[in-house]
Parts: sequence; structure tokens; C-alpha cells
Amino acid sequence: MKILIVDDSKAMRMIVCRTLKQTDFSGFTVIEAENGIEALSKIANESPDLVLSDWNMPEMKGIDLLKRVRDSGNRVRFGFITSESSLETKKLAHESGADFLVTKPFTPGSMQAALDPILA
Amino acid sequence: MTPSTIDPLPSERPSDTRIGPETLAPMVQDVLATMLQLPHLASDASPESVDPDQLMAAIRIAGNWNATLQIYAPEKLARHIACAMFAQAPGVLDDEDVLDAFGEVVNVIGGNLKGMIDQDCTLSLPCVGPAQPDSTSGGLTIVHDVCGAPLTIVLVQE
Repeated sequence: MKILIVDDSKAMRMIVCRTLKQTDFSGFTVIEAENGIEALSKIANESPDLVLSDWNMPEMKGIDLLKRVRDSGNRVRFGFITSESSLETKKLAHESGADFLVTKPFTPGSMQAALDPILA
Repeated sequence: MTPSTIDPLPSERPSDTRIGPETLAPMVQDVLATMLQLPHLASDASPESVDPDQLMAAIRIAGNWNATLQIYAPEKLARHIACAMFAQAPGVLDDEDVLDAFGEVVNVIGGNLKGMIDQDCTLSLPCVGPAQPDSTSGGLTIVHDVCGAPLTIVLVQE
């Protein structure tokens, strides 16, 4: 399984990667992108099985990345990892085709709970 | 007949929500404990005057609720925080990594605040740099002792 982590913060990409390794999931490889534009390219060229994206990023926000992906007909599993967990954010994410949303700060347990229905 | 003014819809009214320390402090504690896993204690100490050695990270929430969140830390603590986030030993990280990590801390706290307010607002991108003198005054201020150094959080609500 190939997982694409999209976040403009290198520190947060590292935390997400480290947390994934602390879950029960194994056998995955991680690729990274630091903004939505780079993510679109990696989704097209490297066909990840799962995208974990930040919401608030320069160049292209996570929600716009998701809309571009879905508009292209790509149904890759897509989750947000964001500190912005308002009801409005969750509603918009769901309506735009996101599979789940994990709120920062997160634990291996909350990451596991979000990914279980997707990856099990 | 004089035209009447049209009241804005409830969602268009500026929110009068005020955040107090009882709301902000647990958010900060959650980030320190969960994301950074650093030993910390809420401190009653007054914020120290800003010296040139301190870093500041700030983020703005704008819309129906408007506020600026700032965090301050001595450069040594900011580097310590970055080491925790990157899981790296001191000396491995460069200055850009330290700024990135410190900015992400204010980004997460700011995002949690925005989520708690649940108003029609936008969250800016974080900006990080040297602290400006006297910039900690004028807002809700809480201080945490993190690894023996003060992490000061200032929320200026408009």
C-alpha cells in the first residue's frame, strides 16, 4: 500500500508518518507532497492507495485538492488531517468526497480509529 | 414610509464569543501532551518581557470572529519543540526546521480554536520570526513551563 502525506509542514509530515508506524497497519510505503499542486502530480504519477492531506496550505488548500481529484474521476481514498475540525469543515469535507477527517493533535489510537474502516 | 434597515442574518453577525483561559489552556495542554509529548506545567508566572532571543509564531482567525493567536518561546525551547516533533537530536535540525515546527504549533492551536468557535471564519497560514518587543501585551495571556522554559500564549480578540 502506498500512502501520500500532503502537508506544507515538514514536521507534521514526519509526525503523521511516525504515527502511522505506531498503528497496527504495516506494509505501507509513504510518499510526501508539500502542497496541493505537488500532490496532484504525485497522485497522477504514483497512484497512491490513500491520501492524507492537511486542510490549510499555501498554493492549494486541501479541500481544493480533494475537489480537483474527485472532478478528475479519481476515487482514491482521501482523508484530512487537520486542526480545523468545525462542523462546517467536516460537512464540507464529507460533501466533497472525503472518506474521513482526523483532528490534530492526534494519537496513534485516533489515527487507527479513523483508518480502520478504510484499510481493514 | 422610511425604509427599514435589514438585520443581517445571524450567521453574518460578528460573534461576541469571548475565549477565556479555561478554554485556551486545555487546548495548549493537549498540544503539548499529545503532539509534542513534552513535560509541561501551567505557570502562574507573568510573561517575561520579550527579548531578542525569543521566537514568535502567529496566526489569524478572521470572519465572524476575529482574533490573533501568538506564541512565544526562547530560541532554545523552540529548538527543543522542533526536536520533539522531528524526533531528532539537537544539532541535527536547521533553523528552517525550527521555524516550521514552531509555526505548526500555533497552527494546531489556532485551528482548534477556530473549530471550537465554529463561526464562519478563515484561518491564515502561520508566520514565524523573531519576537518584537512588548508584543505580548494586550491579550489573554497564559504561560506554560515547558522543559524549564516559558512558552507564552497570547490571544488577542477583537
